[in-house]
Amino acid sequence: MIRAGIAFILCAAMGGASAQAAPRPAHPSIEQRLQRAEDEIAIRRILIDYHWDMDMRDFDAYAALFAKNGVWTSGDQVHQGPAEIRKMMVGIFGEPKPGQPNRRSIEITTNPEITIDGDRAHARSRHLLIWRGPDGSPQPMLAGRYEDDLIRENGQWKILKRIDYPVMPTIEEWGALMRARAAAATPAK
Amino acid sequence: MKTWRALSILSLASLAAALPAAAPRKASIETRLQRVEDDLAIRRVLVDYATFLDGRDYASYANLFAPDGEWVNGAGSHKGRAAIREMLGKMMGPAGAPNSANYHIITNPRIDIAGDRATATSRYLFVMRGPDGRPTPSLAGIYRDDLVRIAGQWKIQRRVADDIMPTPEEYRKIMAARKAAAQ
Repeated sequence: MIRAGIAFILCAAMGGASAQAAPRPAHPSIEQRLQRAEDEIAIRRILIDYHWDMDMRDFDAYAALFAKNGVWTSGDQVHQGPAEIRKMMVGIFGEPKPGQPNRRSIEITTNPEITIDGDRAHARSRHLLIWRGPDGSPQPMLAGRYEDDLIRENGQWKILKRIDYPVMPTIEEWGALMRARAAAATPAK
Repeated sequence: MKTWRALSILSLASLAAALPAAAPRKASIETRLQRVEDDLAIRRVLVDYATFLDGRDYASYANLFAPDGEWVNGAGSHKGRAAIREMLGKMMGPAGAPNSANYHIITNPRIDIAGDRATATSRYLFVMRGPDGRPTPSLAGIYRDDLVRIAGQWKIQRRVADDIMPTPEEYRKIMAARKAAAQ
């Protein structure tokens, strides 16, 4: 019986290997079902690592989450490829300074909705950007959502396209908030 | 039975033929499934932590730790389940007391498993009742955990709570101001 069991698993595995090219099998094998669970965990990890790398100011790791032709886009901004995406981060935050961790902001990442189709996937998620308020307490500053296309590249899931949709405040409101903040931080003459 | 055996040999032979000699060996189905189960079990530990803390269930909270587990923050370290329970009593009040004054939102789990050991980071947002009863984000930070599998169960070997904002000094000022306003 043990042999029969082994044979069954092997046949299931082989069936999985040969059926991989077929879209959405009606009766996926154990291996395919397991792969689906592993893929879901791997993609959730990318959504979380995105903000981990951003908050830690590890822009090399951040850029490496994208596929070689990966795109980050929001509004009329488009950045393609890890090198250009890293440059965008340096443009926003400056070159990271080792030994000076970021303690001014923290991102909360939630609501993952992941749809996997072979070596491609689509994910939706949300984020809440929290900043240090005037007294140091955490203050929600920006709430938004992401729409991602993902691709399995050399066996690893990568972001093929991330669309960043700020929900509140609007881009115009955000500009006004930043100007007010800068003015408040500048000592009066 | 004969058919299964024949299939088994056939499968093994074709599997061996299909794999190049130098190809990295993929882990077994059981090993891969174990990893998925471990990931889910550790996620549960991260969230149970907040449930037991907010529910003032200090015995269950302490039981999430290994017997010599350690809880660490900027103010110091508490090692062993008895010391961890004592810390909770001092910080959060008596065990079992009803609590609707605050709660923890746990997010962003990042889990790396290596056999019977694992590391995890997650984030917490401590929300308190504001003066008018509204939920007020009061403390945000990162947990950094070492975990260990003991008798088939994942336990926290060491948790470091890194309060990102406010700083402990700012937190004391905010709490003092709230207390004064409430009087």
